[in-house]
This record gives sequence, structure tokens and C-alpha cells, in this order.
Amino acid sequence: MSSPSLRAQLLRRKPVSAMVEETGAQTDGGALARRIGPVQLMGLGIGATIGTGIFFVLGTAVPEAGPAVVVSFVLAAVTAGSTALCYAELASTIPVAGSSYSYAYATLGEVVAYVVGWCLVLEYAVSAAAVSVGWSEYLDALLDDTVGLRIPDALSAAPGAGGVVNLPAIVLVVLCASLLVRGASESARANAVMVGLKVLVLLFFAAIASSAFDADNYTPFAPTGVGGIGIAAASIFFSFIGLDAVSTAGEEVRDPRRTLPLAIIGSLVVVTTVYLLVAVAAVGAQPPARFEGQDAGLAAILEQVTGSRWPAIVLAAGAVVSIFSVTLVVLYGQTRILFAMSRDGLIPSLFSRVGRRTLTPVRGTVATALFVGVLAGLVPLDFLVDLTSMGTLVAFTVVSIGVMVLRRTQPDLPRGFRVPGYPVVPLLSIAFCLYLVSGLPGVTYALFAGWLAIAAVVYVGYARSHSRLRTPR
Amino acid sequence: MTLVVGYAVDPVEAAPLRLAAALAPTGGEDVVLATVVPRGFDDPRTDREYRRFLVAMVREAQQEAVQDLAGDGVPPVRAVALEAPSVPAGLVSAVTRVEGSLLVLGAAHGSPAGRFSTGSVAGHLLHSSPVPLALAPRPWPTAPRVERLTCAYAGTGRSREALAWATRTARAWDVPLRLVTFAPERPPMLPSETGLRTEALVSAQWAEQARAQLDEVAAGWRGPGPLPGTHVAAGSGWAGALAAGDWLPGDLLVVGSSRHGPLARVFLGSTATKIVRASPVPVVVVPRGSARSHPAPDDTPDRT
Repeated sequence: MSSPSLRAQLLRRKPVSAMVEETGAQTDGGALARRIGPVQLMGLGIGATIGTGIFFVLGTAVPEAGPAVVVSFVLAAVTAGSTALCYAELASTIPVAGSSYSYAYATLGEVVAYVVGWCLVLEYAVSAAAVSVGWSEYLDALLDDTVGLRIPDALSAAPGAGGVVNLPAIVLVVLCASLLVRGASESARANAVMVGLKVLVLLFFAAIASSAFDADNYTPFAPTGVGGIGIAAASIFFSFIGLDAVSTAGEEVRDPRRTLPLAIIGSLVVVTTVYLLVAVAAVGAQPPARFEGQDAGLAAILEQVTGSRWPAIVLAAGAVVSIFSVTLVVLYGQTRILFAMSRDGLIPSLFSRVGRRTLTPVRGTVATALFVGVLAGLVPLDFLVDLTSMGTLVAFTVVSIGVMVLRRTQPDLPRGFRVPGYPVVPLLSIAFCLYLVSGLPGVTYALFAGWLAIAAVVYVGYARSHSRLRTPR
Repeated sequence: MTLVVGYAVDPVEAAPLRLAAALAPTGGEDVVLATVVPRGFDDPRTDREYRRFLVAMVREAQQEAVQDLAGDGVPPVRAVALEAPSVPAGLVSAVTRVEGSLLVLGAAHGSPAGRFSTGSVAGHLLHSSPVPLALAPRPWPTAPRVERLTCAYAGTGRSREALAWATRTARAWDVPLRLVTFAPERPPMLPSETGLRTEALVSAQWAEQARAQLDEVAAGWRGPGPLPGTHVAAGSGWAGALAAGDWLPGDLLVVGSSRHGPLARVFLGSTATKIVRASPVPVVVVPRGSARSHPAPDDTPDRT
């Protein structure tokens, strides 16, 4: 068998028919097939988004931008919205549901899909690690406020953050992974309950914190200027990750042309409103300088504002429950993306081996949990947040470029949904993403470059010869 | 083979009798009807009236059941009544006393038509019975006798044990054997950022692995009995997978179950329970170790 040229190999696309065969065979029997309306879809979007970052992102963002962090939230929201719209168009060109990895494989070719896949590991695995570090802060606050137990710093912070290992974060990852191995999952109803809980907890915070609103905390409004706003927005973008849950559900949605943009914009508006209420109240409640290094920030603010413990306890308990559910969902997403890549032969088959007893990808879940657990235990929160933003922004940039490329190369491809205001929205989306990327610190670039280098080595050493497109069964 | 039929008299259940009648032509040289009555006070004077009433009621209901079975052509049936602190304990001691090799139970009340739902008795015995358990879904497409054994095979230790039992029994009952692996597609985790059909990929992968496993079993088949047919039943959820089982009237599904403590059962559920709940045909559950301690009559050495 003669080996195809590298160029042909990098650009080969996975036939849509193969994807339909893999996942579309039982479309009529699928419990959710074409049953999702705009409200449920918004529920998915809000559920996947709120909880990733808002509980702890202010601690890194406010020191960068000062009170102007409020503007950074809007900037991040606009970026998230425009990328989600582009993502929805790409998703709607493929008649099966998947992740941006699978859409890229079908439309933009193997190497793009491969890079997107590796970026998604940053979006999912690294964000799962970040979220569990945030969880450990709130758990600590909750234990302290209720039973007076403080986990020693050595056991509750990463080496770079004044500790040795972040044990609670590791425990959370192990807990979630064992649930996933068992095949536990969250239903639509559980998601609705979680959405309600998260929104209520955040509104509760905003209501109480705003009782101590002091306009003086807003001057000077932008001490670090426009640059600071951009830098903060890059970190804040982290808390908007998850909106793509709406885009990927496109195939199962009634009347996608109308429902998709409605649901994307709708959930974005809800999420942004809640975030802004939280940010405005938090900045009004304490001077910007106090945000730096504040663990379990929102709970700390409440305690400081009210002088009593119960509001902080309510908030910390809510945060512990919501972050737990977010970690579960994100970890799940990671195992399934790796599952798809592994079935395509781009990463080792370990990740797509299904266990006989539980019928879940046991080994892949354990391997993912190991990776996430090490990150969560040993890397400080701000590194993880920035790296997640980097991976996600690059993946979204690729998606937005992909939409424009496809409009040129395959204009006749049937699209269930088209980005409104083409080409302005994709261009804006690319511009916003790149602007936010430019706000990330140098160390994040270095880590990202290292990550892509590893990806390249794996591609040359493994994927090139194992890709299923090369050796069809 | 001695069939022990767990027979409740209040309310009277027809399902276990129907299942016993279907099993008897192939596997029931000996059928024992067992009814468990609550253990009374130590001093019999305290509740003599009540006990008398109870004995009369049980005797009457059992007589009716015995005649009913005789009408179905089942050979003479023995009836026993035992006092025990709980129904599962009573049934286990009945099985031990008469050296039964299969315990036949009815469905729990309130199960949907055609489906078995594990009541507390069956639910308890599912993972602890000393002998395999035959469970009757309430109305099922009745067949006068067992025409085929279908063994659920997932390649685990417990399914190998079920296979060993099914192989021996198919031979003893002189019916064909078939192996089936179920590939249920789970609902996705919500909110899912990887689309709502992610689990289809996992289920497709499992179906591939299952096919390879079944081929392996077939390739290494050394009997007894002819090479069994194989089938991968894929569908949405356990209900969908079970519905895709290509059933014949007269099919009997054989499933292994692991030994779980009560806590594990409540929190993890078990594959056997899920299969039993969704099965459209009667099921024999082989709890781990149960097939080995009470072998079928013409037992061949165990190969597992």
C-alpha cells in the first residue's frame, strides 16, 4: 500500500456518510430526537455556562481591569455570542450531532480537526481542573463556616499557590470520574434544577452584596486603561465557555433556523445579565485591591458585607453543589471527545475501549481523570484559567475561519442554519477571539506552544499511521 | 430438575404458575409449590385462631393452583407451606429442603403489562439466591414450552457463568442455545457540549467489541451441543436493546448477576435488574456461584 502524500493526508476529510452510520443509525429511536424547543435549548446553554467561572474569576479579573471589569464581561459575552453563532452554522452542515472536532473533521480536514481536538482538551480537561480548584476554595469556606474546620494550606493549594497539593480538587475529580465510570448521568430535569439553583444563588449574592454598594469603589473606573480591560476579558471568557452546548444540539432541535439563534442569544443574555449583576454588586461591595488573592471570593464578600456567616454558608453550599455538577459535565464531555478521536484512530485506542461491566469508556475515563487530577492538584488556578481560555479561543477562531472557508469552497453544502450578518459576524468573532488571545500572558503562549508540539509529535508518531481514514475497516 | 415455585396466596398470582407450566415440559420432572407464611408467636395459644385460618387459606389456594397446573399437563405437584421471618428467607429454605435447582417467581405488583419489575422478594433474591431464579413478566407471549435458551453474554465473569448454566441446560432440555449481547444507547449527560447523540458512538463501539467477543466464543466452542447462534441487540436504552432481541415465542433469556450487598444494589443498580425489567420474555437470573453449587442433573464438568 502506497502511503498518501502528507498534504493529502492532512487535508483528508471524514465522509459524512461514515458519521451518519456511526451515530445516526437510531435517530428515530433517540429519546431526544427533534424534541427540543427553544426553552429547553436555552436551559442547556445556561446550564452548561453558569458555574464554570463566575464563582472565582473575579479574583483574577478585577486586579487586571479594576471596576472596568464590568466592560470586560460585556466584551467576553459578545465574543462568546458571535463564536457560538459561527459554531452553530458549522454544526448544522453535518446531519449528525458531535463536537467541533467532528464537524471540523467532516468539513475542514484531518489536521484542522486534530488541532481542534487538542484545543478541546484545554477547553475541557484543563477547565475541569480549574473548576475543581475553585470548588476546593468553596468547600474550604463551607467547612470553615459551618464546622470550623480549615483544611491546611499545604493540602488545599497547588505548589505555585503556597501549598503542596490541592487534595480536595483531586477528590472531586476522582468522585466525578467514578460516577462517570458507573454510567451516571444528569437528565434534562436535573439540569433544569441545577440551572435554577445556580441562578438563585448568584442572584442571592447580588441582592445581599448590593446592600453594601459604595459608588466610591468605582473610581477610578479603569485604572489600567483599555489594555487592562482586554486582559481581564481574556480570563473572563473562561466563564462563558459552555455556550457551545446550544450549537452542538442543533441536529436535535425543532426548526433550527429560528430556534438556534434564539436560544444562543437568549441564553447569552440571561447568563450575561446574571454575571453583570454579580460583578456590579461585587465591585460595589469592596475596593478593587481586596479582590486579589481572595479565596472563595463571593462567599468572602458576603461575610464581609453582612458580618454574619449564614449568607456565606448559603452561597458556599450553592457553589459546592453547582461546581460539582459542572465538573461532572465537563469531564464527561472530555471523555466523549477523546472517545471520538480515538475511534477515528487519531489517539490510542485506550480511549475508546468500552468496559464490559459498565458499558462506559472506563480506561479513557480513568486516564482523563489522572490527567485532570494531576493538573488540579499541582497547578495554580490562574494558569489553568488562562490556558483554558487560550485553547477555547483558538478552537473558536478555527471554527469561525472554517465557516468562511466552507462558504467559499462548498457554497452548495446544505446548511440547517446560516450565520446572520455574514461575513461581519464571523469576522468580528475572529477579531474578538484574537484580541482576547492577545491579552493572555506570555507563559500561557509558551504552554500552548508546548502543547501543540506534543500534539505534532503524537500526530507524526501515531495518528498518521493509525487514522481510520487510511486503513478503512 | 426440581422447580420450586414461589407462590403467594394473597393476592393470588397467575404469572409464576404460567411460567412453571411452560418450564415443566422441558425441565420439570419435579415441581414443588412453596408458600411462605409469617412466623407466629412462640406460644401457639396466642394466635391459634389466626393460624388455623391461615393454614386453611393456604391449603385452599394451593389446591386450586395444583389443579390449575395439572390442567396444563404438569406432572403431579407437591405443595409445601413454610413459616419464615421473611419471604426470601422462606423460599431459600424451601429450595434447600427439596434440593430445588430453579426457583420460579412472579412479577411484582404494578409492573407494566408484559414487563417484570423486581419486587422486594425478587429484588432481594436476584443477587443472593443459592439457585438460579426464573422470573415471569406478567403477561408475556405465552408459549406452551421453552423453545430456545438465549444467553445474555457480555464477556464478564458472571456472564460466563450464565453461559455455562445455559449450555448445560439447553443440552438437558434439548433446546437450541443462542448468545446475545445487548448494546443499549444511554441518554447523554445534559447539558452536553458534545451533542445529544454522543452515546450512540459509545454504543456503536460496544456493539463492535461485542461482535468480536461473540465470534471468539463461537470460534472456541467445544459444546456440549451445536454451535450457538449469536446476535447483537442495539437500541435506545435497555428497553430498546431488549426490544431488538429478535425474540421467538418460547424464548427464555438467561442472565448472570453479581452478588451485591443491599447498599450496592440501591446505589448502583445492576445490569441484571435492568435487563430483567426490560425483558419481553421470561428470564432466568443466575446469581454468581448459584449454578455451581446446584448443578443441573446430567452435569458435565464446568468449563469456566
